[in-house]
Amino acid sequence: MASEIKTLYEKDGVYIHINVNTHTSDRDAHLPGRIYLLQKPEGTFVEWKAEEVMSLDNHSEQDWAMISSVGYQPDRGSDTVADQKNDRKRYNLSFEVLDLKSFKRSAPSHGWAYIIFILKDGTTYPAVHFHNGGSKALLKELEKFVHIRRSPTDSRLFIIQDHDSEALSMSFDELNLFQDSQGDLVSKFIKDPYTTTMGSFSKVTNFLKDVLLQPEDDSVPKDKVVEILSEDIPGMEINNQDEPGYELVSKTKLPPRPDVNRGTPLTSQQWSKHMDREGRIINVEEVKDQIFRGGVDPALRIDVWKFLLDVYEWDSTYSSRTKTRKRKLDDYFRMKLQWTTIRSDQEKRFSLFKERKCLIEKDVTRTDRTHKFFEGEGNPNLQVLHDILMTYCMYNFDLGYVQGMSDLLSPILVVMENEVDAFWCFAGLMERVCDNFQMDQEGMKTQLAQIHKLMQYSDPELCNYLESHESGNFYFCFRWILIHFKREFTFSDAQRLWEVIWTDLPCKNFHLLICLAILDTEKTTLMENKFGLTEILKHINDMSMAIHLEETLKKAEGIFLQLKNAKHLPDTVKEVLGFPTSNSSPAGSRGSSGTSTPVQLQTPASTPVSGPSASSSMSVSFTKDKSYKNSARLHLPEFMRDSSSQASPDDSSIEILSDNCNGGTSNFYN
Amino acid sequence: MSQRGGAQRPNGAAQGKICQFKLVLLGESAVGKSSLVLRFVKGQFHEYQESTIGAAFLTQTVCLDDTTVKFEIWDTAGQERYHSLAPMYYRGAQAAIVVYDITNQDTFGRAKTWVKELQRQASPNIVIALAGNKADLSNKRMVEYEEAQGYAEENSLLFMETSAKTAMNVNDIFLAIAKKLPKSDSGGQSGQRPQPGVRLNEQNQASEGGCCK
Ligand SMILES: Nc1nc2c(ncn2[C@@H]2O[C@H](COP(=O)(O)OP(=O)(O)OP(=O)(O)O)[C@@H](O)[C@H]2O)c(=O)[nH]1
Ligand SMILES: [Mg+2]
Repeated sequence: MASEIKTLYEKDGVYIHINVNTHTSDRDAHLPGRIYLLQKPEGTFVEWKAEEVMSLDNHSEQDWAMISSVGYQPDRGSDTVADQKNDRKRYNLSFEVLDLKSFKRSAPSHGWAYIIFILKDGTTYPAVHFHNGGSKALLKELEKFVHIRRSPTDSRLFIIQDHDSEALSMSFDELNLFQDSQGDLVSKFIKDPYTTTMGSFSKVTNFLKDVLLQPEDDSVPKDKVVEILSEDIPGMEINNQDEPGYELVSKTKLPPRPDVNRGTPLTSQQWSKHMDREGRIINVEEVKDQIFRGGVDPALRIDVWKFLLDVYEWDSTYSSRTKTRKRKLDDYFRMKLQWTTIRSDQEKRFSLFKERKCLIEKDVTRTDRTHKFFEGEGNPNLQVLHDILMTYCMYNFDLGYVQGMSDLLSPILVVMENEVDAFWCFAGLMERVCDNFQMDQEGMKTQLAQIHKLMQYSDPELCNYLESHESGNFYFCFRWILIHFKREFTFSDAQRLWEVIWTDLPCKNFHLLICLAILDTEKTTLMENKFGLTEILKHINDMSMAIHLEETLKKAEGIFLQLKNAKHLPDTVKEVLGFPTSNSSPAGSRGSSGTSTPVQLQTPASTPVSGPSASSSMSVSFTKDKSYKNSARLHLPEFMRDSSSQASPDDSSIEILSDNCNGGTSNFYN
Repeated sequence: MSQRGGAQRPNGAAQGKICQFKLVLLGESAVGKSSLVLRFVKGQFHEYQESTIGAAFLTQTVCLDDTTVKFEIWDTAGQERYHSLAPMYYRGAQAAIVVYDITNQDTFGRAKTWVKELQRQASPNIVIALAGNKADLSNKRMVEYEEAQGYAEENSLLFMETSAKTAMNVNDIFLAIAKKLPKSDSGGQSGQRPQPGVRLNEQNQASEGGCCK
């Protein structure tokens, strides 16, 4: 077998940086390995193999993956021990060169070169880092097998050119997606550009882009159509600019995106300065603003999160908090007793309860098990996770347990390291996101539709692209929204992101702007690879753990500012973000004049895309300007918080229970 | 040898047909849907495979005689709460694997419900396979092989007991499906839109005009 494989290129010192959800110290572990370009009988392959497992590779999964015969092949690595030994094997990477769609290279300024390979089906591999060089040599070798061209809009993105003309004809076929136009969109457009929908417009531009981006292609079919279309491009833009019916082509209407700065986490020193002698938080807005800008020092989360999650009121005192804590402790164990006392015979006649219990058990065993806090067989913290979720079922039996909740609880439990505190924080978080878990999924559908609404305005080009690629329902964002990006970021990044979101700054539904920010970063990859429904979903899923949090937050805030300063923002968009709408009360107009600080952010109404000078002056002015805070403050009460204060049962307090009065909490601190 | 522009697909099946099928996995939560796909696509098994949220999409190509079969696999979330999203994923699927856990009778009942729903709502010619997963845990067996087989026969389903953990019957069930799917030149992917990057050979493409409407 080995004789049939020819090594065309090989380089060691190539690393995959894994940021697994384990101990923070292990974050960004660098997995050493070797990259190969291999000529196999079945094709040319790029492979990366972790160093440790190389000796075992005679029967590696790569060979397995190329199913060569009908039949069952016993898997040698399947027993758990071997699996653990070969844990690194799971990062091994192998793909056929023909499946490669594009790749991203690191910016030149980056310390060492890395490459992110993206396959035609949307598979996006983690970056391979060439610590000892060799990336160029590999790409040179690769070039012997595929045509590579650089993306005209993103200098780091390289697209593999399909040689057959199919790519072109296929994208032309995409035009025919409008069933009604009988595939004759082009002539229809020329005859009557105004009634051709804007969606179609984008499809035409997509098509043009496909054509224009592939100048080297020698087999351009239907060139007449291309000609007509390209003649019409300038016309299209001019025609549409002032047409009232075409508000959506309003790329020009959005002011440029200002740069924003992020800050540093709230420290315990700062936190205590924000407390008066009785323990009340003074300057709540200032505290929140700092948390929005930089998060909370991890050691301080255990305190601050209780405020962010409404366990304690911001203006509570030390003594009232002690009381609250007693009451909540008491309440918790009362509810816990409700299910711990259900015996198995009773359970038989309580199917709904049993069903939920089963669901929780199934999920507890597979929640964040690579995290130090939950790893290992029989980890006592799993029991705590289980007990909190069971008790939450009792607390909110109507909602019950829904998959995804364990993901929301786990980061909280890791911070609180205490069953009762974690429960109440979790209950506070659920208060914010319970709509995500409704039976009819209405809450999810609403939010996905809201992303659509926002993007229609913030980025009509991408929006139209997604619509014309069966993705206008934004279902590929489902996981993002459901568990607030928990699976997209490392554990500590997810915690940082959450505390930022919990400030409810700078506006309502900021998490939707985070979706827009991530999609904006991926825009060129999605569009230039011409990804469709499945590829988009796969690419989005594969981006997990590879999204840069701080950059994303900056961008999301930038988009917020763009929308906030946009002229003629439709009411539908304003409503999503909690901006005052045109027909809202005077309170609303006060909100919009929240910008009455010295520096005005508004751009002149008639200004189309501003030049670089305008944008840089904006960014400078903005970083000093926190004016939106006022308007955000105005809208705070609207944010799903109305019922949270009543949500906690109001029992009279009994004696405080000691932490180990219950089996679930023993062994808990480790 | 340069492969530029070549249409060869794995294992030198260049000359043969290339078919592409959409397959969806359905079944109660934690029965092992994601594990089966992971085993089939990557040859791996994770003891602590995390629950699926939303849906996952994976592809795998297998060769069957002179035909290259490309599976586009949709792996869904199993919990009842997310049931309302399922039609989105099985719509247009040519094949489905309905999975249950042999150590849990309830999951078998749920599998039957899925089969019914597919028979009612999915494409009429959908190939349905029933997979009794976690067959490695036969000491905890709650669903008898014969019971499931009988049910499968009554409903003309493919049936195998599988184990994502040991890999038993995992390839086999996918290959059995591949065999059962229509691979006539006009069949298979009719109604499917062409996927970027999937090279359909001339023959197929010509006869397939319908998929590019
Ligand atoms: N012993 C054994 N365990 C398995 C097998 N297949 C899956 N499991 C385990 O069962 C649990 C659930 O597996 P998943 O693949 O996540 O189940 P799923 O059907 O995708 O679940 P949802 O995503 O929640 O719908 C995991 O802990 C797996 O390790 C199997 O064949 N044998
Ligand atoms: Mg799953």
